[in-house]
Amino acid sequence: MNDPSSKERTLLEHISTHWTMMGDPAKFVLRYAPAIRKYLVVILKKEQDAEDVSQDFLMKVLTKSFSEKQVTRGRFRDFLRVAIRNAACDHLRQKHPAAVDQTTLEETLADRAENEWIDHWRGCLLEKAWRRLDQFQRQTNGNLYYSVLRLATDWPTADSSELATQLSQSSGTRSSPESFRQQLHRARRKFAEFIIDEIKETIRQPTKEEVAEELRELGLEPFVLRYID
Amino acid sequence: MQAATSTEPFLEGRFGKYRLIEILGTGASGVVYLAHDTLLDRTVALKILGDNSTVSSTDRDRFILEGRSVAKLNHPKTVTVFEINQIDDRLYIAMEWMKGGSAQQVIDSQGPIDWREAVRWVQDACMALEAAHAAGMLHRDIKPGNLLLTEDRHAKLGDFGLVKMMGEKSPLLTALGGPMGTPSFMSPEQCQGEQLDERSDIYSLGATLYALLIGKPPFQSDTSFGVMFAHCSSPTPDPRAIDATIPDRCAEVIQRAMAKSPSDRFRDVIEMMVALDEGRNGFSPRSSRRKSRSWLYGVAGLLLTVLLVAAALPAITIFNPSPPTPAANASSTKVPLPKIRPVLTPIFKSISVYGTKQGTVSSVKFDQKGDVIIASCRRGSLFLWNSLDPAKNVQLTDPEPPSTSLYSLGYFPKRSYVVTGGDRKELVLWDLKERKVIDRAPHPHGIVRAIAVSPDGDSFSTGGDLGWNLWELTEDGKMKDQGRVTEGLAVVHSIEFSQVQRFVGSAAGNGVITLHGLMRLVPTTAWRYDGPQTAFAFSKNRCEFAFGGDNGTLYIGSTTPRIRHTKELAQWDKKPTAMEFSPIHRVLAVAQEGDDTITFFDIERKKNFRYSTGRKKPNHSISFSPDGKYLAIGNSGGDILRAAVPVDQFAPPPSLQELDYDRAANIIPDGSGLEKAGQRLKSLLKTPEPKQKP
Repeated sequence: MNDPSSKERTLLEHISTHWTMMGDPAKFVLRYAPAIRKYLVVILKKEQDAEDVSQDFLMKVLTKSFSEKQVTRGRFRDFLRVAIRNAACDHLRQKHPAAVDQTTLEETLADRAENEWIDHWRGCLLEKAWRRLDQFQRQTNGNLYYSVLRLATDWPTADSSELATQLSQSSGTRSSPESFRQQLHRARRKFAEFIIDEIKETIRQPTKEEVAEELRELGLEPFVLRYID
Repeated sequence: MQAATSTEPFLEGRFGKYRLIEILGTGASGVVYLAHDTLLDRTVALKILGDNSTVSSTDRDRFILEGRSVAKLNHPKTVTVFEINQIDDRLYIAMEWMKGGSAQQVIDSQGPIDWREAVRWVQDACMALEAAHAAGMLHRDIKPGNLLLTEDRHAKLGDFGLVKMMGEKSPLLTALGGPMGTPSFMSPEQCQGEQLDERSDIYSLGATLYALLIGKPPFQSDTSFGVMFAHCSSPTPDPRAIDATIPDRCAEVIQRAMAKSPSDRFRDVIEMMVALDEGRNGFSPRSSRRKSRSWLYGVAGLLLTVLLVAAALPAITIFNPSPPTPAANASSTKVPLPKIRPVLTPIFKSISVYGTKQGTVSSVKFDQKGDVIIASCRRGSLFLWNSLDPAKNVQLTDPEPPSTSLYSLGYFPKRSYVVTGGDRKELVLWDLKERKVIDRAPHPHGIVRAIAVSPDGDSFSTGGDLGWNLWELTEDGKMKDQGRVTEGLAVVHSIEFSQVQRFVGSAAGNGVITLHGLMRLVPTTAWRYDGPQTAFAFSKNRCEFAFGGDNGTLYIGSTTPRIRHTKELAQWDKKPTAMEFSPIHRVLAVAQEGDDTITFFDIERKKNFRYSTGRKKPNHSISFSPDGKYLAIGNSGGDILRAAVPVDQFAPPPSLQELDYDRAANIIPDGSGLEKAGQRLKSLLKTPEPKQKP
């Protein structure tokens, strides 16, 4: 599908300041709920403990609003990580009061779970981008971005001829290898756009540099930047 | 109904023509009464919205939308709306009173529901949702409280108060900022206030099935927020952990319906309904079932690796180490498909023609001996064309007005009867020997699109506008309705009996191919394809079938137990109008829309041969002679043709030992169909014994 607007702009240069999550922390927590839950499981090692802490954490989210002062480096991801870790520490200290002091506990937990946190966060972010691409296809007549990218992802070793055949079968519309390649390029660009959109919502001042840094930290930069510049 | 309690004072006595009897329930913005319509003398459920001082304009709009939506659906599995009106400034909806209460009330009073009944209720809801989704509506509040029960405990879907048109830009959140719906049954995307599609209702239906089986929702918490957090993050609980008697298939259906990612759920409610039916009938899961994309919820380290590797590839292959996803449940064969032979189509070597001048020849059949071709025409006549003795030709016309357009015919060789049907929404049974009509019956599914006769000649099935019917031909020559099957409110274009198994196969306008077990008239297996499917045929002697439709592809499938599947037979440039398997060779003949050719697919040799009738009129119907040497063809120019089949080009017919009898016999209790097929084949393949010299 043609998407002329995407050709004319560089996404990172059109970033506006809109940290919508600040106004609605509950919604933000639900969006990243899988990452929060898995992070807690990694920290606490027990599903039941993770369940208990998540309930305490949710109550805090509902009863206390987030303030800008609580946020470091303008990223909601960092603030959330600290808040969750603190809730986990509180839980462990209550369970084993004499076992460890707060600082040691936090350091231990930080080392153990930092990479896991980034991985799960990225998983949530990609899931959002996939869902938006899916919805984009459903709401745009004749669009096959989601199907095309899904096929290319599911069949990593297939060439464009085989993928075009598969797309013809699944969509009921004829697709040549050439048109498949074109659609795939556009689909990747749209997907990258959705990733950027999602990241923008998690950064307080989403400048080009801030977004690029977040992409780098999440390991998405080599992929995403390739399609938006 | 909403959970909150209305502050509206309860009405007493009369409300217009209604006498209020008692309160059935209260909602956020109104009250539901049991009431009696004094004019029509019937009991109804009367949902009355509060007056203008207590409800917002949004509530009023939503109330009207609910009434209109249900009235528009008018589906047997949704609660019927009799009236939506206003008295003073109070809106009300008069609707069918469901004497059995709601499924939630049954749970509250009796505890968990037996899995068989729970599955049936959810299947009822599936049917209602199929109609709603087809009309572009999302329900958004599926839960046990909205499954309303008839007196004989069948379920109907009620409370369309949150219904929304798909793609509509209506607000996803309530005025208070929270997502709309009931938290215990909301999909993750609904919890997060995202754009919804029909897969959100499927999630809620899965949660509802869980609640019916266990007696409580899948996730519980002290707060609604906690429940929503669990929907978004916690693994779906396995109901078998609480009740080990719940069948595996039921649990699997719940798991798939409640997948966190919409793309991992059932594609639509039909697929879910069929999966539930497989569970109810004890079939194992289909082999083509999509596998879970666990990558989203784990395998985090691998993700980055794949990303980095992918970034270096010319054709980037991002993110996913998951297995291939078969499209449309079809087998994902990677074998190059045979191409249809283009242009310069040869004409059949031997062909004879009879012009009826009665419009398109909609259906053709050979008689038992193969001498006479029976044909129905769009202008209402039935022809018996004897190609060997033209003096014996017969034209029969229904004496009863109004005239009808015949769309299909079924031939009963044992009794020399023919049943015809068309746009008069009626079936007519003819006695060919007496050359007169001997019975008539209204067709419950409207226009008769297709007719198929069972191998034993005692039953037949008819496809129509909203599904198909099974009929029995009684000994005294009457048609007796044996049951009705709805196909998701879609037109059944083609229908056929299996010759070797107890199946009826059908192709429908909603793209669904279904195999129905004849014992219980329930779908045992179904596949859904994009675009209407217009033609279907069973093999005469193998566990095999073929079909095709608007999406331009021909498929072939196997009905062998436990390995049922379909795969592509050929890419096709136009939709097929008719197809039939040869009774002898493993060959499928197909007529396609808009041209005068017939293509023979030799499945054994993986070759195809295309021949033209030379009449320059599109072919519409075909049928093989009993010996497989001739093909009867009807075209849009009113011609009946008898063409010699190029059998010398086909692979030799499979020997009896090679047929799928052993495997087929596993699911045929008495083997009768198999036996008959075998006998017929033996007689056809029998080599005359040499005469002994004296």
